[in-house]
Amino acid sequence: MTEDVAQLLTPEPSFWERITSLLEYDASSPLIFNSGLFLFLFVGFLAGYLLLRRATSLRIIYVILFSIYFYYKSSGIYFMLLIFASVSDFIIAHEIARATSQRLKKWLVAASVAINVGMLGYFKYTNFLIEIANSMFGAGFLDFQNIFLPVGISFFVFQSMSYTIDVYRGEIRPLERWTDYMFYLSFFPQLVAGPIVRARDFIPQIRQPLMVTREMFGRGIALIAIGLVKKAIISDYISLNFVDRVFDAPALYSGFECLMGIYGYALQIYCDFSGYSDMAIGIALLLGFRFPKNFDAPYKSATITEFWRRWHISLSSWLRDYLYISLGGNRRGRWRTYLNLMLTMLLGGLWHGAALRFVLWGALHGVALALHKAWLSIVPKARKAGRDMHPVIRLLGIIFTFHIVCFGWLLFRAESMQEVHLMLYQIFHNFNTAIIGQVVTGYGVIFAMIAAGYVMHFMPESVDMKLSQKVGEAGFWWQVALLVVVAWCVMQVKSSDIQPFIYFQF
Amino acid sequence: MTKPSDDYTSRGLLVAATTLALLIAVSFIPPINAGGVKLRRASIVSDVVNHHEKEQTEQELQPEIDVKEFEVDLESVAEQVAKTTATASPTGEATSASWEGIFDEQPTGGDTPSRAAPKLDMDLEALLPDESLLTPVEVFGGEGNDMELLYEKILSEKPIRIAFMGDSFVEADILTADLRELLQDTFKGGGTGFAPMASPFTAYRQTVKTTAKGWTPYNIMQRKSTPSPLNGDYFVSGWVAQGSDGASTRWEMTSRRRHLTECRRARVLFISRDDSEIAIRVNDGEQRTFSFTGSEVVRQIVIEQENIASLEMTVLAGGNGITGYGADFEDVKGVTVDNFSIRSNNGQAMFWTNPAVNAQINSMRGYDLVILQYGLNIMQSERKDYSLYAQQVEKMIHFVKNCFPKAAVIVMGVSDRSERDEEGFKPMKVAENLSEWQRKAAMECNAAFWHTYRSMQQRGGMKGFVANGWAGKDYTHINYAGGREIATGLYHGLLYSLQQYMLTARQRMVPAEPVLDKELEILPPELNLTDELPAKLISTEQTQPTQTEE
Repeated sequence: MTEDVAQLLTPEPSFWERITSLLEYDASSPLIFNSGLFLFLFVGFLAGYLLLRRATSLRIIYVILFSIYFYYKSSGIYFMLLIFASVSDFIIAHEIARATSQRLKKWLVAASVAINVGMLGYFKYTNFLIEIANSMFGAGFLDFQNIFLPVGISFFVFQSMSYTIDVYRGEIRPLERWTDYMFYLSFFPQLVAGPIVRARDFIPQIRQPLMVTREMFGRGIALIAIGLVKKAIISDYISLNFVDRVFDAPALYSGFECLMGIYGYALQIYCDFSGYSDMAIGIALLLGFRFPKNFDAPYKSATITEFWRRWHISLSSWLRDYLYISLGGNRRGRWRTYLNLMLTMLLGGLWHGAALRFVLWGALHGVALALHKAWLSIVPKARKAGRDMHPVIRLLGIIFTFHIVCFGWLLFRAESMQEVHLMLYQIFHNFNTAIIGQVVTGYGVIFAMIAAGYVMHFMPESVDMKLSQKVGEAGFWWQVALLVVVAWCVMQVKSSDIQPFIYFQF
Repeated sequence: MTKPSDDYTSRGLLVAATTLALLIAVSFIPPINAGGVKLRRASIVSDVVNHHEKEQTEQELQPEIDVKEFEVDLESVAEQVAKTTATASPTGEATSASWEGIFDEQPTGGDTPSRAAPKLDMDLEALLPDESLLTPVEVFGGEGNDMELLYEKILSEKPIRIAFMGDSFVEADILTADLRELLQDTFKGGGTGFAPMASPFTAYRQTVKTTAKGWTPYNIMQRKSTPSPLNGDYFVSGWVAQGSDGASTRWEMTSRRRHLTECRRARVLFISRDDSEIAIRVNDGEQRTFSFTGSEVVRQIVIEQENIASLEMTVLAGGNGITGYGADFEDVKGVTVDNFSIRSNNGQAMFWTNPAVNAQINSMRGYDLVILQYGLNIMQSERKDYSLYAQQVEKMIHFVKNCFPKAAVIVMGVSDRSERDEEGFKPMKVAENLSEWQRKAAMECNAAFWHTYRSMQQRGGMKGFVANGWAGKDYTHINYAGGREIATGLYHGLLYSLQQYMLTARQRMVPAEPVLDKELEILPPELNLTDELPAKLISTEQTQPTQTEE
């Protein structure tokens, strides 16, 4: 009763109060590209951006301020961390360039790595380490800390390290202005979820005259539309209405549904991750910046080595260039190469999150990569990538690799080993072929979406390019219509009824 | 050099601004329902603008239930039960076999109370939560209603057996696992209660480990495809298993909740239509063989021994004539909670059970309380009238009262469930309506009612349950963690209602004549009336004498 009265007495927030609260820091609602609020802010931002088209330095500061706001919206005061990282690495890079002895350069780059990794370690892994310590020395050995995880820290820390290491390796010269460095590190399209843009790819573009060509524009709009479809339609819909449920309680589902849950998750994580990356790359293109490709239809891979050249390319190439090569790469003999691969993938797994399941996932990929490397050296006819294979072998390779990757996703997604076991048990002991027809009709929309997602994925690359070109050549209203229709579909999906729970086990 | 016609730099703003303007315009198009296709309002401004959507009219809705599914002849049920109770002798040689092990103290061997009088001074205050988290169990009916009889038994420390009948919401012992643990903490007892002989879902239940071989299980929702005579054998558990020679089931106690690792009484339940031989092995040790002559009645093998940690039943001969139900595990005192969950059941499945089977098992077990948890599958987001369903709930209560005559009945209101619109997830408002209809049915039949939806709202509602990881992403089904929350709510609701009963019972013990201070002193010291009675009540009692004097 008292609650009802209290509700009646509290007036509804006014329009302006709602707007202010919408714009304030709120960790639970970060500013994501597929939100309505982002479109409002982006239109306003673009107007200023164009006004400052010829005033490069001012435009840089303008973008930095917007990026800081973008960061503040999800992480509050922790935007200071971003500023701190940029100041520290800006100074260190200069000192590296100035240092005359190799020894000093080494110490300086080590300091930069220590600061960045230290930051990442403190914010992301402290509680994980405490958990491990407690499981070794007994519960309550150490108290868990209340540490906020600043959004995107894993991305900007890696970007910043790429800069000081490249300066140390003599591959780039340090930047003259701190604002240019801050601009690179905080650039909002890639700030919170990647891609991890290298300093050497980005820096040359900073002070170039602002110019978006038709080709860039067409590609940008197409990528935004594709990204929205992947992230906000396919991924969000299948995860809420199917995949999450199966993983939440595998025993409630038949083996067939569990297997579809894993295939669905493989598509979901790809669409989620690559879709967001697509939007980031598309938005950057509209602002006149080119980012390298981040996903290249990874499930087309015929070997695990090829998979890692197609999946989250900006991360895998970062790990290769700055971790694997720093460990000695393949220059120290065969066994050391395998060990380096293993270590790189273990740490790469851990980078995805502070939990044992990510380490296991990394370990699986490390072992698979090492085995494939060994296979390549034993079997002379073996090939690294599918395009050099006989079509039949390639198809078999694709199917095999996809299932290894799916097994990896099972480890990645499952909350416990018990859940992994349960999923596998259902698949191998309770597959229940009799109900396949019912399941497919019952979850019609979801299965259609999963199928469409995979069909889109296996389209030749030329289709993708053709689409970008068509969008670029299309008239103004066609471009607007494309975005409006996609956004309308996104909103329909976002507010659609939750697919009811269906039992098929009878 | 780029041609000026190739400069698309400012086009980004034009396209983005036009897209935004069009999307704002689209926000004001109301929801459309065209040819069965429902299109929602696509509002980009829903965060700041309240669209007041028009509600659908009731005429457009589907009927809430298929009444045919709920058909039952209650008179014939009563007749069958009466016939069974008159003829069957549950403890007689024909139906029952027992294995008595060694006890430090002999079990009571039935439901003989260990205390003659109810203990009305039990202090429950410390166990009750803050008012904001309390949803009491509402008891209907006058003095001596079934709930009062139940409370009397609890306070007399008699064994209490609870049958929790529900749908997928409590499958795998979700909710009941914690209700059982909390009740056993407070009122003693142990054991996981009933466990089916075989079912495809046994792997999911954490509170007993079941390994079954050689059985063919059938579920009551598939009664039409269940072969005869098994289709007429259903008990309220909802599962029957067709035996075979060599079929076996092993139940192993677990430590997933307190009081479960060992129990002191187990009972295997089955029908043996042909002559059969059944072997029982306790704690993977000694095995004994029991022979049965063919009959239609429900048989039990009762095992009473200290420290039963595992039990294995093997059909040695006569397997084809065996209908297996399962086994129950309990202590010789305290509380037992049986989980009888049947997926997508709205309560109608009980009408497809065999009343004679229910009555026979009841004469062996003796249920003191039946909790009915149904309704989740019939809720429709626009429907407010559930009168038709309420009538069926009344029938369910009567059915239960027929089969389990000594049991009190609690109807649980429907649980919270979220639905979604452009502003996100919201509680399904009609759950309040359905709850009210369920409450009304309970009231009509002098049963009790517990408002599940309200208790869930007190704990954050379904949206909060999902956010806390207590419920699945279908925003309908809870998991073990969510079950613990609701079980705690129900446990507190019961304790509160029990506390109210103790107050009333103590008041009843006070003579009807005006009470004077001196007389109060004569009462037993544990009946500290002044502490517990509401101030208002005490003051009226004390002022009465002065009024009579005038």
